Amino acid sequence: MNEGKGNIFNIQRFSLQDGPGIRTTVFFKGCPLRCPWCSNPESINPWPEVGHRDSLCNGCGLCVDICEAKAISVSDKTIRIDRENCNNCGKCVEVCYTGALRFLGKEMTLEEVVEEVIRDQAYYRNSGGGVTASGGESLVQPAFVKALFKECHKKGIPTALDTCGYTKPDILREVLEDVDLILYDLKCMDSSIHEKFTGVPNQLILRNVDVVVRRGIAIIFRIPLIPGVNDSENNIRACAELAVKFGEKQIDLLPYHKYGLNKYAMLDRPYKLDGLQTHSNEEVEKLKQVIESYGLHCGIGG
Amino acid sequence: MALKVDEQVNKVNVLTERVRKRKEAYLAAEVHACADRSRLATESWKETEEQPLAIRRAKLFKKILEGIPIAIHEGELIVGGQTQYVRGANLDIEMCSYDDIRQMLQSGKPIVKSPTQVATLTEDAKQSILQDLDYWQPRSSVTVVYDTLRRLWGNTHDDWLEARVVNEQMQSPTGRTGNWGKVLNEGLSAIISEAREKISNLKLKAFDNGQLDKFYFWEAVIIACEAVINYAKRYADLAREMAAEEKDETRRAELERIAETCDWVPANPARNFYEALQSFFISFLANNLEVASKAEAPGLFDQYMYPFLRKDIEAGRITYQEAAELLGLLLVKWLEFDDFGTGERRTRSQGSQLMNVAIAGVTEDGRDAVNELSFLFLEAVRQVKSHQPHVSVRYHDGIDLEFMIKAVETNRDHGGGIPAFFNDKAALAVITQKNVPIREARSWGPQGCVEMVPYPNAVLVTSGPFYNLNKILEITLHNGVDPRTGKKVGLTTGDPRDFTSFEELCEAFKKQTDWVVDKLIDIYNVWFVIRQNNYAMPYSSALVDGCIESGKDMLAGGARWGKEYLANIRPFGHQNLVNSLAAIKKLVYEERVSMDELLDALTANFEGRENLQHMLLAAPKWGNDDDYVDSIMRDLFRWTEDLAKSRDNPWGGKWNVSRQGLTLHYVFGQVVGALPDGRKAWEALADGSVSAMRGTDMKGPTAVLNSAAKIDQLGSEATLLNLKFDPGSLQSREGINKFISLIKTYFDNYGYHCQFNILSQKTLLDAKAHPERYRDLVVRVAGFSAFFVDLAPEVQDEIIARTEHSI
Repeated sequence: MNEGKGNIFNIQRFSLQDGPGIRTTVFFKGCPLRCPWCSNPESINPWPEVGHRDSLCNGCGLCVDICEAKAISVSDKTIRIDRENCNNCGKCVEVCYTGALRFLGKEMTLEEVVEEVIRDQAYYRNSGGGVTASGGESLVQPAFVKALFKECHKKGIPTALDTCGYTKPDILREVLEDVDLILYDLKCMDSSIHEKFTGVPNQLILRNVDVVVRRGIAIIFRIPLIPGVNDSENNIRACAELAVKFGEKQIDLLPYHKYGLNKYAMLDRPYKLDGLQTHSNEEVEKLKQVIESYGLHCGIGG
Repeated sequence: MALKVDEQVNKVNVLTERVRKRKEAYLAAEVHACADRSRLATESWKETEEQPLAIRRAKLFKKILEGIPIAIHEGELIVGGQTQYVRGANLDIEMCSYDDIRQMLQSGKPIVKSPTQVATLTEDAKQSILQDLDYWQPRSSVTVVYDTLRRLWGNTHDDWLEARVVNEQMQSPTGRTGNWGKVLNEGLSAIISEAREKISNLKLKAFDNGQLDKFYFWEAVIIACEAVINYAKRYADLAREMAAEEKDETRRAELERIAETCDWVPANPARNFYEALQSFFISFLANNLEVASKAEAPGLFDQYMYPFLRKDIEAGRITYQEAAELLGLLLVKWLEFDDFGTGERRTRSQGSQLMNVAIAGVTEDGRDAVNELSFLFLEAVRQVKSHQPHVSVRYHDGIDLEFMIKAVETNRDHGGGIPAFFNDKAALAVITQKNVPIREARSWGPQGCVEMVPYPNAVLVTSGPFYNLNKILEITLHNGVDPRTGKKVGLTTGDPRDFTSFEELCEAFKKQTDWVVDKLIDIYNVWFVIRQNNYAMPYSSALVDGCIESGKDMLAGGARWGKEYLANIRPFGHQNLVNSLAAIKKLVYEERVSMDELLDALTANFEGRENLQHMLLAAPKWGNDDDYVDSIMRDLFRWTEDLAKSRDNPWGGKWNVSRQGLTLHYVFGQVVGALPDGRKAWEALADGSVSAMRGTDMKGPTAVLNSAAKIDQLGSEATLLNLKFDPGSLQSREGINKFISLIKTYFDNYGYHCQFNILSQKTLLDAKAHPERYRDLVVRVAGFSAFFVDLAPEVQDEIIARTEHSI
């Protein structure tokens, strides 16, 4: 199989929250869902995009001059990119010596990715860690992620797939061959709410749980806890019942945070959940207890 | 057999009312600059003019111990102090930066620690010290050596000091570890008997100069040890007097016990834990009165102290809670050590006394050394939040896992980089290369900041010089001239604009460095000889194995492994140097920037050349697991090691190379202009030796550690790696285990040392703005700890800016 190139927006070493042990997380670009709370907005589009970090901009204006599409403007060290006209040619990135403009996402060969993830193999070995594919959604690049996992296994590195579960079952089955652990996102058990917030219904996602279970691969469910969206006790109970039904042991809660807020500005996108309050520790703890009452293990923050 | 830790150990309350009051008294205490030690030293020296050096030094020490004012403070159970104040500082009048001290005194504001710590000084004390300075200055080794060096080699060394090509290390000697176990188990009277026996066995017929010197040395040992015994008895007498006046019955009993204890120890073997602690403390303190300076290591505290605790527990004489309180009191006592900031040393070590306690590790026969006291001690450190002594955990693969978890929890809760982690495997590999048998090597520990020694068989008198790699780079780029002063302080190695290859530049740099190091070693060999002819430490030497046997002072190479550990040379600024070389290699020799443009930009401190600065900043940087730059570091390690090891020291051993740096990243950084790594002029350099330059490690801690582990560290006496973490994920057991794996992996690959500042940036910023709210906030800077609010503002900024890894 020719895996082609992967579109990767980050390879994060020393990841502690994406599965057991010390891990390297490979972030794939492209996602079929449109969750407004996403803390990686650069992960949505499956192509490299220009982003701007205004704090680094010195207002020199070189980018404005070089942009053929006239899509870029700078005033008072604040950059604006007209995304309708920008074709991500990257000329502005080349001239921006302050590093304020840069590409989010990069085409990488399998060899390049492996070369990076192999470097921490001693840490994986000592900590029971490995490589996690995350995103975005790595299953939108199935050939690449499959090849990456295969290569990891060849080198004795454990693998984990962090997925939203929204993919064709056949594709999932293909990739699962070299997966040791699934981090399976559950957003909401009510399909209409699910669709309202993420843009897709949840039937396919729930069906795919079965696909994974049949393969006998361990699952850790993860619920991104969004205030007013999916944080009701009812929804948490429904998730727990699903886990129990499939004989799984663990649901982690990922409390809502705004760490990704600045990235929306980098991409000239509005943040639709502005003003949303984060949960208190007590609120999260309460939901954790609900999950634990089903005999499930519940971690907070992954 | 698996270690079983009594559950009481982890439940102790160290901060009892008594300990809290003592800590509060310490925090509230003014620091007094005291004249007594100087006055007594001067009087004694005048009285003994015609006598042999060792005897003179012993009598000087005796005079100090007899005459220095003493006090027992409210609620204390372990007694002893450098002065009668809770915080008092003595001056090493015999060897200090005379002009600098004189100036400081005349300003009326002697600095004790960093520039923010000014001591109280009475007019009498001021006049007294000024007089003593006049007496000592012409007689001091420091004066003699400068005079000699000028006659030998003109102003070379002065010029280097001025340009800060090198730093000032010709000061009173620091760095020693007594055989505390021997003091506790046998008492100082056993050491006196040993010396007596040596004297009685002297063969008179063979009485030559060497024999006579030995005789004087042993006599000096006897005088010194007796002086310490009598010094303890002064505390016994004082306690008795106070007891007689004391109304409170409980306190009276305590004072009587203090009197009884100080009558018995350190002269005799300690009979219980309490006596052992007192015996240790007073003999340790006395060491500090012989040489009022730094880097005296308490050593393998849990190993030599534990048998006393165990015995008392088994006999039901003490509870863990009582033991914990005593440890708390000892920790506060340790905090009370201060000294006069003299010369550059005050910025360099930022008030830390560089005392090192090493716990865990392995026993002499290679078993895990962790015991209940290791736990109890860490718990005490965690609760008291003290920064002095440094606590070093010797890691090995067989270490008790519960203890390791406790160490990480302590690191998390203490917040100040305590404990630091050291790798037994790496240290043993280095130490045994010097033909130290493995059994002796196993009682190793770090001395000063991080340099390894097989204590107590060796002394590492940390007076070897540091040299400023980045100043040498600047000089190379300006054909021998220091661009800051315009003065020629290096060799003529050619205009770098004419160099046609990166290799040519490297050759020029090596030539400059070679010349500096070669001459620097000559200079310090001269210094070592002059020092041992003018200065001696009979008491400190008596406690170090080998000196009595050889009949020689530790400064004369008398310790069992003296010649192996007396001379360390210390290159500093590795990271900025290799980053700079990598940037030049890439931009000038592989890409399109000309050397001319680069030099212009450096001269302009990047003003108007920001574009180039950003390109330089974007070049490969150390600490990112990038072979492009890591391979330059590997080469640098190798040839700077060879430079040192090819040279003899005065005692028949070789020079070593060590890579650490106190706060020299700041001291040296102040004189280094803009660098090709993109760093702007006069800013701090990178700290430690293998940590990443702040803000340049973009790939997280595993990449930093991988870079450092690629280097062959087994040729150096120390490397130093700092990482900063925020405490978030260390709350869970899982997070702690990951942290331990991180350390283990670095150590599997023969990394030597790492320490973690687990703090939030927010905390530090707030602390900088409101120092009064953070008086007990501790941070660890380049291998040692200090109260954050004591640090110079620039150092504070630097700590704040260090990349924060999230764990």
